[in-house]
Amino acid sequence: MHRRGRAGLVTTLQLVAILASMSGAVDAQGYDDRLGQRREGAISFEPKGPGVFFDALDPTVKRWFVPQELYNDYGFKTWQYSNYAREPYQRYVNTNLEGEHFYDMYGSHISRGWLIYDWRQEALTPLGSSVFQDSRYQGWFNQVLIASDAKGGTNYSITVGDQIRTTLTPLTFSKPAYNGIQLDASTDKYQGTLLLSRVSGPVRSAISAPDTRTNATNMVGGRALAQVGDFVTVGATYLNTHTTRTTLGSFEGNPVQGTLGDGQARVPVTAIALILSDDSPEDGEGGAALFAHDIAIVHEDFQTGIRHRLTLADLTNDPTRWPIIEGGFQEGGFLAANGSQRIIINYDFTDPSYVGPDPTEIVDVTFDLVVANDYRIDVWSDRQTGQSAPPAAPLTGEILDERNPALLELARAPANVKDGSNRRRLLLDYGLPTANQIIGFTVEGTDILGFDFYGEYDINHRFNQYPNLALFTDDRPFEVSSESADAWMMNLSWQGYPWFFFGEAFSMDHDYSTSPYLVNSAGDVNYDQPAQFLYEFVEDNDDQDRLPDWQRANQSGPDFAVFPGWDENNDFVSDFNQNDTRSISNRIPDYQEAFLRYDVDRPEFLYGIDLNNNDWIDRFENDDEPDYPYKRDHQGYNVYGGVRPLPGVRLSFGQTREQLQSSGRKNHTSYAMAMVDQDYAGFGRLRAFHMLKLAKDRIPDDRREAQPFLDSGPPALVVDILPAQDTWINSLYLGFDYNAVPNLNVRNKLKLDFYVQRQDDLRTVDRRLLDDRASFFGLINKVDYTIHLERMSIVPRFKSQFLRRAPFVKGLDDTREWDGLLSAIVRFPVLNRSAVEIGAELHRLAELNLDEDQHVEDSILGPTGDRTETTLALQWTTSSDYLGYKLLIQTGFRLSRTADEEIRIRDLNVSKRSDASTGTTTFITVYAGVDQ
Amino acid sequence: MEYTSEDLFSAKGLGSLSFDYTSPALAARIIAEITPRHAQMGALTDFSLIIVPELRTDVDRGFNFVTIATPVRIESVGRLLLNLPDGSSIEDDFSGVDLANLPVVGTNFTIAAIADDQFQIEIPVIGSSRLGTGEVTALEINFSCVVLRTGTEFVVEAQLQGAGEVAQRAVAGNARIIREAGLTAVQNPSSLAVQVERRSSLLINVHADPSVVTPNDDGINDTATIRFDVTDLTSGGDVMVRIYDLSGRLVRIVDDNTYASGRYARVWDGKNERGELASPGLYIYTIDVDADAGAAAKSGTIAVAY
Repeated sequence: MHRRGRAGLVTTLQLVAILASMSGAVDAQGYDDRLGQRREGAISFEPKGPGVFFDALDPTVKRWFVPQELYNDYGFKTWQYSNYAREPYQRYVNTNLEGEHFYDMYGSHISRGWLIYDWRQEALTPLGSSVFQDSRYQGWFNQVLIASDAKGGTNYSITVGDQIRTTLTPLTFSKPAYNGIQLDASTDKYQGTLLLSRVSGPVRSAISAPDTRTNATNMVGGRALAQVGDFVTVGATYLNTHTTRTTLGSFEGNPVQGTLGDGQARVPVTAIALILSDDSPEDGEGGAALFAHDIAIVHEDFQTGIRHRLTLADLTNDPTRWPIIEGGFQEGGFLAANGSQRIIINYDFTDPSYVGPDPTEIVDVTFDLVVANDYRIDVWSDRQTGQSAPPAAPLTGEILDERNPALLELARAPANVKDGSNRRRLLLDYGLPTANQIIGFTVEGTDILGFDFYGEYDINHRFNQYPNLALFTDDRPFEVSSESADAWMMNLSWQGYPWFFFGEAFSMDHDYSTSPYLVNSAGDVNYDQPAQFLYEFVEDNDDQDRLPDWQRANQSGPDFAVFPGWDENNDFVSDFNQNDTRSISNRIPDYQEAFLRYDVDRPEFLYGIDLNNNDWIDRFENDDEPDYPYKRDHQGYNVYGGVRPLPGVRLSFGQTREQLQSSGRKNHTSYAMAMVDQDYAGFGRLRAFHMLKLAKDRIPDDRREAQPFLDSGPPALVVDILPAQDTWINSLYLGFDYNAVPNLNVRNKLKLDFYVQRQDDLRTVDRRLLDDRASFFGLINKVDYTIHLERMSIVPRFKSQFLRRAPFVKGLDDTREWDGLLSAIVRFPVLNRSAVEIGAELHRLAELNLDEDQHVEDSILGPTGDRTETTLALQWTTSSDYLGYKLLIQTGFRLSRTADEEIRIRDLNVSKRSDASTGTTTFITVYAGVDQ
Repeated sequence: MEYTSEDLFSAKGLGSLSFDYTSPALAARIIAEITPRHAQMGALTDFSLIIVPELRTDVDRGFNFVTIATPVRIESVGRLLLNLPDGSSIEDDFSGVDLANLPVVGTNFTIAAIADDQFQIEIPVIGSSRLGTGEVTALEINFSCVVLRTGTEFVVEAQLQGAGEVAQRAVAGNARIIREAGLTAVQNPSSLAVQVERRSSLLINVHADPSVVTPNDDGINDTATIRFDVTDLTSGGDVMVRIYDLSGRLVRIVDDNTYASGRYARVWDGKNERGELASPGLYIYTIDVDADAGAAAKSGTIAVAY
């Protein structure tokens, strides 16, 4: 007992000594290094494992620990009585605010702080693909992290972001909001970029734990540029997206060719169907012609590894029952499908007539077809998953129409051959997409003998694998089939005043693809849901804003407010509806809205180049295609040259030759163009545009109808009816602004489009007969004058607009209308920062085509199309500074009285009547302005 | 029945619809098969056609006349063999027989007619043939012909001569194995179609006969026949046959038409476009085929002498 008490005392003394020494350590340590370990007099932050205090090696039964955080930070000893009477209690400090210590893979201490972003991929383990984004990534850094370094002329930076504007080349990669990592380096003569992203799940919002996946689609890409001499730059581009599974070894197979996700390969394929159809169904003839078909199936005994190849004769005991062929019709020794007809060849591996290997043993399927004419071949299998469950085999035309299963395109015939002269044997492998790759080269020259040029060539490879789970183990070679397509473009321009020249040539295969599929975390792909399962190297972003026009996986969109060329002030609002806001929608275009319609003219008065002859100016077009400089499936050239005989005057002559590779349709357009832009100081400005074209254009260029509303739905599809198949097209625009008299503005516009068909029996795509003549004529005259009476201003205005349209299609009525308005706005200030505005407008719309008197005489009832509208408005505006904002308060009312004319019966007499209706608007509105 | 019209204002209407039919039928069905089913493009090939009817006792009337549609005029007819239900057979061999003067009558069979696109054989009346019982009647026709496009179909029709009724078309199927093993019939559309490998040119077998013409109306070599085979076209391609002199001037357009695959012969009478006799000398004939997916041209020479 005595010895024990002595030992306890010694222990206590030793402990006090240790604590005293540690207390000194606490005093000596700064706050920054309090978590470091003191070893032999030095503080270290490197991971070296726990140590042993030699002085603490005391043989006591009493349990004690070397004091750690509570003693170091607060002087608190676990067994010591706590009394806060004299020294108030100190709460715990939130250690989250201090950050964590981080170490690199060598164990070196990197920093104390916070993990913001982490993407890693570990092979041969489930859930090995991991992306982490801390909430600080968004809260502190607004979703962009940039690290950079430079020395001398060498600069380098790494950017991690959700919305990085990234372009490699116009044919390969161009996104307004790339989500991933971009590494850039630049020297005087060399530049390079590396792109890395887990595109199937880049994680866009803050998450509390890493987003881990076994199945993922990764993208790696880059571009290198080297300057050769003083004027030429050569470049190379590489892009690859591939599906990975982290349960496979990293070096198994070819990583760039990818593999299938777990979900895609888990269940064997039991049914495949080939669908042969007419690639140009609109002509109703010369569609797919099937002369012979066979199938080769390779199956493997996975115990022995022995493989056998079987063909149709080996696979069935009744060739009349397997495969089951639906549709088509027999025509002179071959099966044909014209127009909307389809030939469906069903290979059902569960059919009683099938005597081939079990589906689980099939490792490769190749279709052997002899086909001709204008064929298109799609493939379906029960492993091509979609939004709904795949239909049961065999497929029929009715099932295809009703169930709309997910199909993958296998082949299309080039051009629209109808006489069988393109007969060929096709060997087509069946597989599901695993990777998409683009390799490209560019060359660019600047100012070489006055020439500038740019050339680009890209080849696209798409890799597929047969979906059998047994194939995707890490101890066997992967088997991949691939298809390729290419695209190229060349631009050459020359300036030698007054002459100029420009030439462009291009070709892009119809199956050139910058749209790889993405797997979800289960390893599945829904092939009929592009919005969730497609990634785009090149976005559709016709209005060149930050939002892609379509909906795609892991990105914002779709952007329905697409105003290509209609938003010149870049406020994301259509210039045809400038007073539309995201807060309160304005559904009246400015060219129809009272008072605003004086300044804003209808879209029909825009003028410009329409080289694809779809009656819509090219720079204002919105389509559903990626924004390549040239369209897919097109090949051809365009050249023009010209002269500037006088300042502000330009004359051009050119020719466009285009062809659709798949159908052979052509666009041959020759044109001459004259432009005049003369500004006469103190007098006015004259602008003239004239273009004469001879167009033979049978290439459809459908477009989306732009609507000037922010909250519009999907823009309507406008089908190109092919109005210029063999046609003279004359486009004229004249504009003259007169401003010689102070405060007087006179503006005049004239636009004339005239189509003259050179053949009598031309028809639209929907087989309607084209009229010999079609035209648009528009004339606008506007005048306003500002009268200043001390502080008051009065602005009387008058506008006249005449429109006449003769439609393209024979049998449709012409339209003629006159639109006139007379208005005045009076503005006068009140007090110091307030003003009153009073406006009145009389607007008259007259439909001129209708013979109203004849209709009255014939008792044809209905509206005449004439309208009279009177608008009165009063507005009070006060501007004041408030909390750093310029507060604008507006209050007022507007009264509109509208009378639509109608022919109707009244008192047993048929007559024209106009019943007026009155609408009013009263408002008080407050704006917090930032303008100074 | 599908009615299509490019005229927007056309209305659908069907005035009448009539069918010619034979009642009772000649046979329950007629199975036919041709071999070989692969041939060399443009080369003379020996084909064997097996025809096996299925006749219902006291119902079907049988037939004694067979018409075979061919892609071009056949070159020769070989052995004709009829296997009877009792195991016996009758045959005639027309190998080496001059087919210029028809009909050619054999002991049992008669070659009734040969045209550019078909030939007809008269046979003893087949009145009994029951499949699956071993009591099968099978007709074998051997002939030589050229095939000019893949998927060429040999259409077989049977008639009962003198009945004045429509022919009954044979269906493609396993006729050979029915004859040999007595199996049941299995239809197969490819059994009457012959596949050929594609040639690099749409024009083959081009030549002029004779190569020297003397257009003096003496009845000897007054005209030259330009022969050519158009291959691989399922529908018409633009074909032009022209004569040029050695300086390249066009002398005569002999033919300008659209032709599908087939064997063609066009005659040049030694005259130019104005109907005047060409001067003595050497002339070049050219044949051009313009198809949707390509073109072909061949040329040769013809001498004109007086």
